[in-house]
Amino acid sequence: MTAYRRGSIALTRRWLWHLRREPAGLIASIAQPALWLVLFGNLFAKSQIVPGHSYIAFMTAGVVVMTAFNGALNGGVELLFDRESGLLRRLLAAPLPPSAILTSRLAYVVGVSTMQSSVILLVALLMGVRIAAGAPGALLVLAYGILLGLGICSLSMALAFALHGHAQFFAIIGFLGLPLLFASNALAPLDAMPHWLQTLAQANPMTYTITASRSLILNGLQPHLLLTTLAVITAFDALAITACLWALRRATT
Amino acid sequence: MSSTPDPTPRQLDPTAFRPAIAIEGATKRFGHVTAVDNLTLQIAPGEVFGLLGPNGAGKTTSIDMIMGLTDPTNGTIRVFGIDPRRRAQAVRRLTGIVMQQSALDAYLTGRENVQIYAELFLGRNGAAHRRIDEVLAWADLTSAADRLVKNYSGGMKRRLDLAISALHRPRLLLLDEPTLGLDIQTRRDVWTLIRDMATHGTTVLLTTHYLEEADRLCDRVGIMNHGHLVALDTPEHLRAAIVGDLHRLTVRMAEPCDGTALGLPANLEATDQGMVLSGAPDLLWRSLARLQDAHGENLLEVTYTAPTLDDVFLHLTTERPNETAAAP
Repeated sequence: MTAYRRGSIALTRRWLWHLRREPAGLIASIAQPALWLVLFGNLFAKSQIVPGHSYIAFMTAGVVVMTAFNGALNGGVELLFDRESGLLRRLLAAPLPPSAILTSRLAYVVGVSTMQSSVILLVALLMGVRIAAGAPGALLVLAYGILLGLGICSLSMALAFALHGHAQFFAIIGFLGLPLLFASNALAPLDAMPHWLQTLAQANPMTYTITASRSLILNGLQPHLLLTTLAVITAFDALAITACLWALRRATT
Repeated sequence: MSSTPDPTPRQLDPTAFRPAIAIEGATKRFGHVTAVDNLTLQIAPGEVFGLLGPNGAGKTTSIDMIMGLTDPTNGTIRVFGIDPRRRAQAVRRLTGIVMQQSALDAYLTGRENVQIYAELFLGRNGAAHRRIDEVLAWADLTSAADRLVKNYSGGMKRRLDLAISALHRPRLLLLDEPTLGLDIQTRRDVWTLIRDMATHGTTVLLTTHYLEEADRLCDRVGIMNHGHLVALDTPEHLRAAIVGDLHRLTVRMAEPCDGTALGLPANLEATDQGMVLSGAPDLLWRSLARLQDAHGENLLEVTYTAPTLDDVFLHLTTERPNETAAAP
């Protein structure tokens, strides 16, 4: 087994050990997004924001992507703590490529958010939402969440390596979290937004992911949209991962 | 006289072996700061070498360069002939490291902490599991192995760090301030573990603030200051040459007296309350005896101060030609 694979697996196991120690946290983090769906879905049940579809059906894609986004946005913080405690330096002095450390975190963060997303889709099904693209559509929705999570979590890790301490990290994440959610089409369609917000939302990678996921749920499979979205998010991921590797190298040498 | 055998018990000649560590003119600059300045040093296989110096002397940077964690700006480094700049992974497979900051996951048990590194170094198999039990027992942590590390004492954490560093039976062990902030009993436990590794043939490079630590563990000692290596010798020779004449007796007297009139062999400095004598132990002893004879009823209190690392640095960084000439 290569040092990279060995390191990625060993360090992913570490995150899973952490998770096992906090079952309450795990249950809460899986139940919470489903709760969002129930609350928001019912709050706006009467709204005619998307003609022809229930608000819950409209919201499902938004909640799935938002969950992947939030999990990933906070995904880097554990590495920031590792950096502050000296554990990161110790790991870098072990025979494993630094990319294995990043891989383990990405695998873990994306793994947890995929579990969350699956529960959300299940709850949506129970609430009467029918995915127009069927079971393959559901899998594609999960795949979009994974792809977005990889990029956002990489940026979060890059931030963790670039900043001085966790206070700064939380300040930035706290500042970005909600505005980025509102500057996307998670809660309302783009054409219901004022022009300036639309412009912002169109630069937000969350928007692309939501548009594609939503179309799978509401309209069915659209190959052109599927491919362009994949291309955009993959390019975003490549940039984010490069930035993250660069920040790690800069922080540790 | 010249045929007298060297009294040093383990006098190693680093040029007689292919060195475990060979550093040649290594310099490391961070912007305008030169952390390590033209360091040249060879450490023989099986040697226990101590790098002494105050904070910011360049000790940790030297360790980082050996480990391939940071590249030297100039100069070359070889670890068992391997260039850590090009083949850091190969160096790390041969090397165990205990860093200044205890680098453990507080929310895992001791065993889980070891298990992560065991997987990195040895994989996941029966032999690796036996080795985990072995190193935990070696560091006397078997009964605490399944407790969370956040409940460990400082000494237990340090022993766990050592257990992890010993997992893959490294040929070289790097220890950065291994006993900083530990109480004396715990410090002794850590020394026992380090000595045990050395007896089994592991080359050890440790950095420390404590002269006593270097004295007890090390075959040779290098003293760094402002990135320079300012002294390099066995602890015995260094003590004799550098701090041999820096022992001090502070003498408090009922009435001040003119010490110079007595012709005391030690250096003398008059104070309000008496005098301070300094010099090698035998000179102090003879001076005290003479003082006792002449002014016995006048002596109130005599306090002995052992030489400290501070004295070594003062001595090494300031010009004091007279004292240097007096050294054996």
